[in-house]
Amino acid sequence: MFDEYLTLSLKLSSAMLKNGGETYRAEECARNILASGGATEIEVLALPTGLSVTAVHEGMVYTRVLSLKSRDNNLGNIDILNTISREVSAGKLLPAEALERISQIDSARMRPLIKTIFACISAASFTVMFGGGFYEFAFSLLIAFISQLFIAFLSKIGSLSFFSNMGGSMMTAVLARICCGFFPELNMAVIIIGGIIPLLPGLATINAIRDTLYGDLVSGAARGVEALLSAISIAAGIALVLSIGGVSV
Amino acid sequence: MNIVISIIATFAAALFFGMQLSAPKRAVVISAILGLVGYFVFFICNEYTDNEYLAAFLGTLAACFPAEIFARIIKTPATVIIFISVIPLVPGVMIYQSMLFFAQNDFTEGSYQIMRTFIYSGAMAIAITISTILGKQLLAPIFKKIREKKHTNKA
Repeated sequence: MFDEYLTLSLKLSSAMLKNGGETYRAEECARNILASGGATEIEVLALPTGLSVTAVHEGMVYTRVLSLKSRDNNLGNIDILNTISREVSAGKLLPAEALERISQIDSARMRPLIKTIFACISAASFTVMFGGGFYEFAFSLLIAFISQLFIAFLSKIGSLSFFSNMGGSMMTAVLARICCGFFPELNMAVIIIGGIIPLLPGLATINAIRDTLYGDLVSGAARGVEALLSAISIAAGIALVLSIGGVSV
Repeated sequence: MNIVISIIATFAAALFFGMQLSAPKRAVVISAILGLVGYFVFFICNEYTDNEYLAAFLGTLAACFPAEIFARIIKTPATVIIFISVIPLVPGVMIYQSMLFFAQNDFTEGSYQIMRTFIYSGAMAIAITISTILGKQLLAPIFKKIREKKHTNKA
């Protein structure tokens, strides 16, 4: 019985870290679940790259360690996991059911095509927000669609997010330059800006700040470096494309 | 007319950005509205004080502090709302401009722009920090009291 609580706490916290939740929240979820399972002494250490849980239950010491490699941003999953953790620690949900629901999260993901379309509309709206007209909106929609597909392809072959983000920003800049070569009256700047804003590492930055404030210095520093590298790779991708063959603004 | 278009564009950008990251339905509209509020505050401050760092600070604060309150009302992690509501304030234009200057081999102007981007992001970071601290120290006890009151009323 207690094994289930231990597995659940480990699964839930690791899923929370994987989907981009804060470190303190992942630790708190594991702690609450273990406490509702009747553990007396609980220690949880969560890092962006791993998780270890130790609990004492009826005189026995249990320890589990998990290593994490891939990370993603999915706000819906953070919310679902938070709700599950609340319900388990309030005693409304049994650990077996909770494990079932966590395993369903991955299979119930949004269809990639719909996600791509939302991303395109968002990028095109940013283009309009920074002063683009109707033609810029249309081109931005098209360019964002192609670069999103390219990002999806890159993240499939190489798991590093820096790599796919840099590829995405380069693709956006290349396509924007090609379109502006054919239609010189287009405003290239707003198309590129609209394309890169959704790629910039907002969640990593926010989490780095919040982690540091809650005392998780290692996580804060690691996420800060991740955000910085990500931003630099996106900016470098644009600079590379713009510098080829001279720029006429 | 231009103002209406940019309001719709800002709202749509934040809304679809949230939907792309499959944010929960009950949070996504509130976050997009807060994004609009934050951008509006930024725009007004930038117009009247001509100080973009102060404008970024106040705009981010206007987007983040209400997010902490709403997060506690609809019971969702505050990051979910903050992430969407600050997205219109992200300094994409500055990054683009600095990279453009670097690509043109104009390193003086490029480093000036990149420093501007750093200070601007720093101003946003301070605002997020302040709203997090306020949420932790000020809002958490208030909401705890409200919850306890509800419990005693039920019992």
